[in-house]
Amino acid sequence: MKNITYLIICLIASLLINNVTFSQNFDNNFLFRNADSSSNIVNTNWQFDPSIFVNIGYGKLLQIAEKKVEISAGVGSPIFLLKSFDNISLTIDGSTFLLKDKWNIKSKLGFKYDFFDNTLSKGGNFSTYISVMPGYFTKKWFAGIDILYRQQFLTYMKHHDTYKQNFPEATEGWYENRAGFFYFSAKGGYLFHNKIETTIRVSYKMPKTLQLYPPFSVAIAAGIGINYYF
Amino acid sequence: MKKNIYFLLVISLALLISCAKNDINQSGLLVPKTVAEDNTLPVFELSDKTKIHLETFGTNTGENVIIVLHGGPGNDYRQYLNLTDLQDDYFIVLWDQRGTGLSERVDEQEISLEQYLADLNEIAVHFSPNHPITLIGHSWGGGYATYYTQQFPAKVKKLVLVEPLPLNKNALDNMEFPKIIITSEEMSRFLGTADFILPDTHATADYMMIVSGIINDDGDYFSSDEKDKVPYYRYGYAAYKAISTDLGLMDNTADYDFVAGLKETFKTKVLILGGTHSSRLGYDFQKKYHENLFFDCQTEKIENAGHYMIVFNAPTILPIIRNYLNN
Repeated sequence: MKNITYLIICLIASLLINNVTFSQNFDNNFLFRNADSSSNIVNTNWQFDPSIFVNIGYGKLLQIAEKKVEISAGVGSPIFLLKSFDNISLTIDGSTFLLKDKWNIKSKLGFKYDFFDNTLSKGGNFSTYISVMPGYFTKKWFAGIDILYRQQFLTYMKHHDTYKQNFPEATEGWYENRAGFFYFSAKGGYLFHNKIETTIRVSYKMPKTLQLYPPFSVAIAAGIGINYYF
Repeated sequence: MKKNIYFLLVISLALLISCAKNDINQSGLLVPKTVAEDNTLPVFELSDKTKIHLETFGTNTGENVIIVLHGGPGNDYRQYLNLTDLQDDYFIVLWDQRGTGLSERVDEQEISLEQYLADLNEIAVHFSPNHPITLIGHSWGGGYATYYTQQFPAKVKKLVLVEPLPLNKNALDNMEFPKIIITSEEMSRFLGTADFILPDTHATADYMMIVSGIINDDGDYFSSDEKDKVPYYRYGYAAYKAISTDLGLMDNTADYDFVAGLKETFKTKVLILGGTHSSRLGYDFQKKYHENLFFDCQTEKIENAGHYMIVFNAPTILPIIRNYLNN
């Protein structure tokens, strides 16, 4: 346990020099294996990027066409914007395991809506994401490499007066947004008392152009999460 | 029933996407059009056919040309319009440097310090073919002006530097860089936007450049009221990145020296203006690290002024500049 705490502290400290954004996903992988005793999960995730993003969520295990599928929903916000609560993100996704062995692949499909309010504009953004995570999953712990691709498709913009003073013709409304980002993450988790799971991750974000745009896109983030099953 | 729900979902999504008539990557929507896209804007075509946003004020007598060099790199000339008050005696050239402001966007590979030197030389020769010019440079533009003077000392009549960026490595090493405050709301807001806007086109990159505020720092302002009142047309990410990379500022390898040899080759008095409320490049910094780099230098302290004194303190600084130019 001490080692895990030490590892988490090191991860947080190392991120203070990095600059990237967050991704917002549950890292629970025991729900399928604990289906006899649990089919619900509540979760909190903390992402360091280097600002801090906090997410809370709920997941439910369902049986769909003889397949166990977990449906999750979450709401999150940068912790330093909780007061104004104007940059919240909403997610809904479904995930399932593709195999029945300890060596397995978890797949996920989800949708995300971000409310944003920056120095020039405010609005919202729709995106969808898909991920696969090959890994090793036991009753007590898991480790895997997650590859997530997130595709933006619609962004709503309403510009602040300060921006309109400089550019009165700035167009408001829905924009088609073709941006896309890959998130490569190393993830792991450990289950305590069959109910509480802690997870960690280190992520690398890369635009779909496979090119970074300093200082806008430095690519490393980390996250910790706690899941409770009932 | 299930099939109907899925069908409705797909149709709703398709309708929503079809409502989005605006392309986030297109100039003129999220950011203004450049001279390459709007032929009503004042334009100057360089010899390589690159279109530059350029405007002149006053009457050109052949000996009274002042070329203004804006800051950044990657800013534009809108905040220098107060300098046109000098047009009763001088011919003022305001222009957006290659790849920024409302000048045509070009690939990052086409922007370099050497190219910038050639661009300025071409503009100088065009407007003042037979006489040296006066340069007024602000911030990065002050470094640019000094660099041009170093390379072409005989072509510069007078040199006005308004809080120039560090002119050599020693000055750079002693400059206080803007602090990145992880807990700030601005940082969180910027990171949130960077999560869905990809700066892979000029339009989105230039938009993100303003959102990030990477050119500006809170310490640059006399008061917080000033921060949202500095006017601009459009920033240029490619120009910012290319010139910052050339200077070695992106990877902390900077060892440029815009003043080496200048004391021997340029003996005209240089005017430097520094504000009392500019935390990085203000009067104290200019006096300590820049004044002695020139053969003859007059460093003026501008009271109650920040880095954007040309916008907010024009009534104070214009008489000082005019007096320097007339003598």
